Amino acid sequence: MTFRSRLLIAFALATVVPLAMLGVGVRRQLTARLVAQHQQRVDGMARVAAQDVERESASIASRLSTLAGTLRTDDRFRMAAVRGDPGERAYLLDWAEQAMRTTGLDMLQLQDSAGRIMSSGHFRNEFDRLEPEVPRALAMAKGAVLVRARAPEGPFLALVRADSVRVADRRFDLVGGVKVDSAFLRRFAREEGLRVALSIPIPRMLAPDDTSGLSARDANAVTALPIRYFTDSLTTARLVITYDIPELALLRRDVDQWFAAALMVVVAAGLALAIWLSRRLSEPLATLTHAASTIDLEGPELMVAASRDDEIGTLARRLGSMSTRLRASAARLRQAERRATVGDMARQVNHDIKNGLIPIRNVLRHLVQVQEEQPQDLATVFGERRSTLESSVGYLDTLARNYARLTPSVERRAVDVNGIATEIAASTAVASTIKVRTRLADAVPRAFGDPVIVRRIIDNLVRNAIESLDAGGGDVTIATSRAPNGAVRIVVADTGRGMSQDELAHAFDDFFTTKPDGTGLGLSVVRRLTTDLNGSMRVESAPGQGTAFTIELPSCTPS
Amino acid sequence: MDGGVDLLLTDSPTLAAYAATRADVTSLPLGWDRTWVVATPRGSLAVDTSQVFRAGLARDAVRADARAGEGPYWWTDTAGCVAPTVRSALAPASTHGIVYPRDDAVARSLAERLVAILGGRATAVGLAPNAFASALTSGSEQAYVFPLPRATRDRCRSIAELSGATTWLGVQGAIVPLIDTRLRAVVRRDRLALRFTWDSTVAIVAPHP
Repeated sequence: MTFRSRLLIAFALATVVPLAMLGVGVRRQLTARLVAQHQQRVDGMARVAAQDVERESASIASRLSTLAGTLRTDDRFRMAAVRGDPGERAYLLDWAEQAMRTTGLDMLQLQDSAGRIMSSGHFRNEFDRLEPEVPRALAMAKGAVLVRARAPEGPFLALVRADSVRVADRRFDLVGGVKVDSAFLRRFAREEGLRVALSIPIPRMLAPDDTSGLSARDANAVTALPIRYFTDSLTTARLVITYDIPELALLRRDVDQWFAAALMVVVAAGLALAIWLSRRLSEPLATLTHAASTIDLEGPELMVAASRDDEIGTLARRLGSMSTRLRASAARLRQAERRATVGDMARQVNHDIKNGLIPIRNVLRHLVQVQEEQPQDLATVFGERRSTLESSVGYLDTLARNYARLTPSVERRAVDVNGIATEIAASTAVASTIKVRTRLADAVPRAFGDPVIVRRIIDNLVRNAIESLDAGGGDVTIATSRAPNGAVRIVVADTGRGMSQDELAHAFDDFFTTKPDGTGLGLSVVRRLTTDLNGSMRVESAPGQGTAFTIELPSCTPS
Repeated sequence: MDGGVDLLLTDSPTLAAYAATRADVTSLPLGWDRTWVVATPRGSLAVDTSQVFRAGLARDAVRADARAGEGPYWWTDTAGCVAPTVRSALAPASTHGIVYPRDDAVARSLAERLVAILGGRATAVGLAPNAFASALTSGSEQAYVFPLPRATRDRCRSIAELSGATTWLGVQGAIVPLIDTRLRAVVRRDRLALRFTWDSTVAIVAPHP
């Protein structure tokens, strides 16, 4: 996220959040004040509703009392319920339904002292079912109780009361009441905006049409009227009375509109201010960023505008100062690199010239020896060794020309590897304890490369092999063969002291040597030259078991 | 009856009792012609189906001239008839409804009595004739209460029709007879007379001069 974006977000939050808090706070305060004003009114309505419930309860009790009175003088009932007359059985079963119809009750059942339903008006065929709990609970409550009455089509809520009657010394309980549904609840909502709902401990028991569809969350002014409720035990349900305050909705709408307008203005102004400020702040930073990205230690000096006297000006000046110091350091570094390069080259030239001079020196020593001991053979021997001298001189001449060009070009032509190997083996003068052998395959193809470079490779490897031999001497073997992939393989092996794993890991590093007077360039030169000829190189060695370098060079003939 | 109809067929015992108090009419019970059954697609209901229980249903639960169902029943004798189509096993019932034809008072009374005895979440649900037929075919309800004729002229055809409407019967379904009912004929003495024929069939004839 860019600095400008962060700045914009920060500004937006800094303006919107306080405004939102203000809007919510004003809204809540307004609601609280208005609800408090109307709460007394709702409480008054609740008292009226409570009186209505009491009145309904008294009405139910009165009707049950009337029914109890009629039962005392009902001979058919006596015959059926007390005497058990089968002829009056149907009368008894239908009695509650008939009584319910005449009294206007929605629920009525007649039970004996054991709680057995003898006649049920709301569920005629529920007879003989034991239900002693309801009369007991009603006796405990001593008033109206909400119960869940069973009906063939499903349960319903009813506000019920109980009464009892004694006929022929037998007690009978009458349980009756009215259905509590949305129509019942609406009777309590006498004013516009007033709503009544029933909240019972198990909400799912309330059928959908039993609620006026209002929850306390939506209510403006709320009060709850406790009412006894019986399921398995006596608990308390609540008649929730809510009042929708019409002016509150209008007030809320007005506040919301003003808040939305204020929010839009503040956000627009805040955004404009944020954009202006972010530009003022971010433009110099963007300039600095651009300048820093164009720093070139080789190019002209960085010009950073540092005229400002604030933090950004300080940053620009420090960036300029840092650029200057970096340029000075880079110049010093380049100088040091140049010096190191010259030294490296000098060491390499020294190494190569030494390698080229050794055969000449050996030939000269040989000639001096012949002149002193067999002067008459001097001409013959000179003739034999002349080619060595010419070859070495030619080699040195090529070296000189290559170094003169600093970037020697590699020739690409057929190279007789066996010939070069034979020549090197012959021209290498060593102590009598050291034997330089060749094992050259006849079918070796010609390598494709530069003969001078091939010679330098083999020469360096042979020198390295001789120097690795102990004072007791040993063998150095130059072998050539055709590799399975068709390349020309050259193996220079010795019986010297070999190399440890650590020495092998650094064998091809520049200036790495285990010899007191070594330059540490021989093997690194060999690797570079082999690479120049598109060849490959590997080494196998173990301490005390000698070393074998294998070079594979591309051949002139396809594989 | 008070309006002066010549012939009245009724299943109301109250009406029959009223007819007995009038000298100008005579009433006679007709034969037991219908059996009310409860059909359950997923095994029998957990209610007593003994003769005593069914007699109690006939006596107390329905307002009709009824008795405990008495066999034999034609739908249990499938000998010589084509094997009915049997549907694969039903899914568990999604409702606890004991459904009945909405306009049938006897079926309603029986369904309500079963609901009262079963308790729990069972409910009695009255359906219009077409809806009842669809529900019966689907087998989605807990139980169905409906009447079947006590006698049939073509037993195999009636069995085929019943099996077609209740293809679930052959799997786990069951049909349990509950009660038999009959009608009572009330006729005006001066206009019609009732006479038993040689095979005990009640015939309505002209009164003796």
